[in-house]
Amino acid sequence: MPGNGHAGALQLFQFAVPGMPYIALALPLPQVLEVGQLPPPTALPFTPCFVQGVSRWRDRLITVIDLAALLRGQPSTMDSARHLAPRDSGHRHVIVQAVVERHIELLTWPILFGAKTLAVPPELEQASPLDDVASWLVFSTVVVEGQPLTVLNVDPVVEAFSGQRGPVPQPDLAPDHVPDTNTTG
Amino acid sequence: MSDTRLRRYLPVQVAGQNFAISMHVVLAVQQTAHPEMASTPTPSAAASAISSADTGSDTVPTVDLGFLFGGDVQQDTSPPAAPQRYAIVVATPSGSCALLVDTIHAIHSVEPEALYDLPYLVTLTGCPFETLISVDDTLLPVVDVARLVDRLRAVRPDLVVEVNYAG
Repeated sequence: MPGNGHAGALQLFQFAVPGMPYIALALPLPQVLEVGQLPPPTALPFTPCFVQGVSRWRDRLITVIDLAALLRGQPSTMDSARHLAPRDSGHRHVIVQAVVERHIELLTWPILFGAKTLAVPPELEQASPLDDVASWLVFSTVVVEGQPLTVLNVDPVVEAFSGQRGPVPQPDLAPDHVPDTNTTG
Repeated sequence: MSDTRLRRYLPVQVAGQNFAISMHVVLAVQQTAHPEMASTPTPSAAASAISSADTGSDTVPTVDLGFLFGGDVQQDTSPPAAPQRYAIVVATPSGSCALLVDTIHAIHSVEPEALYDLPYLVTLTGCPFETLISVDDTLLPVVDVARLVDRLRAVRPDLVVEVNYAG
């Protein structure tokens, strides 16, 4: 593996997702909490198209998203039937923590077989960003083993949920109140 | 002696999906035959999302949850309705209305601590659910009726019609 043993090496989790299997994606390893199976998500109508629903993880609810839909910035269709068909076909999920408005928020999405961890040197050759990946979720695009690797930063994902970026929900139903804590404890 | 801390919910099934409605807002439940139940379409209702339901003493606006949750409200498609359905008359800040569902189940009581908060990110979408409960290990989104009606008004305002049923 490239970079193994380098001082100051970056620890990455490399993966691919259904719907975008040809693009090598990665997250900084500290953002990854776990990889495992989750129960099928409970669909929530009237959420943006990239929201598959919620599922239970360690006795709390975790938001299940379709990362490929989010990265492609598909337009939102608010309703409803598409949320009801199970879209999970037994994939393993990656559990990710994002910093959202100073809280830790948990997200998960299905990943394809072949995910792995990488230790890469901090100074990597930069590659051109891929056209079909939303740039606002990309930390950098680097070359690893001769191939482009898109390193994500999921912290701005809140902007998609609140309609500021990407597939937007209807803006007219702002929540009446906002829970004051959503942390991992 | 009843435990006042318990929250009671009415599990319902709509278009093959399970939801729950807080008994706190339920005024009445009536079994009805579809489509005869929704007997008085409102003037501009292109589809059956909203019509009026004769619930005995009053005629109230009716929202077909099967239409909303099982079809595409923007394209006027809806799943086949169950032959026998239920009208759940609920109280909202803007008055009572009826929710049309396919199946109802026994009322389920849960401790407040057993409610699942919606993840913060999901709350940002404004989806019309207030919490989730677990019934027989299945998660049921609890419908926020007031927000649901608001949502319908936002997506299909033409289906929200003020009608004087007294005439």
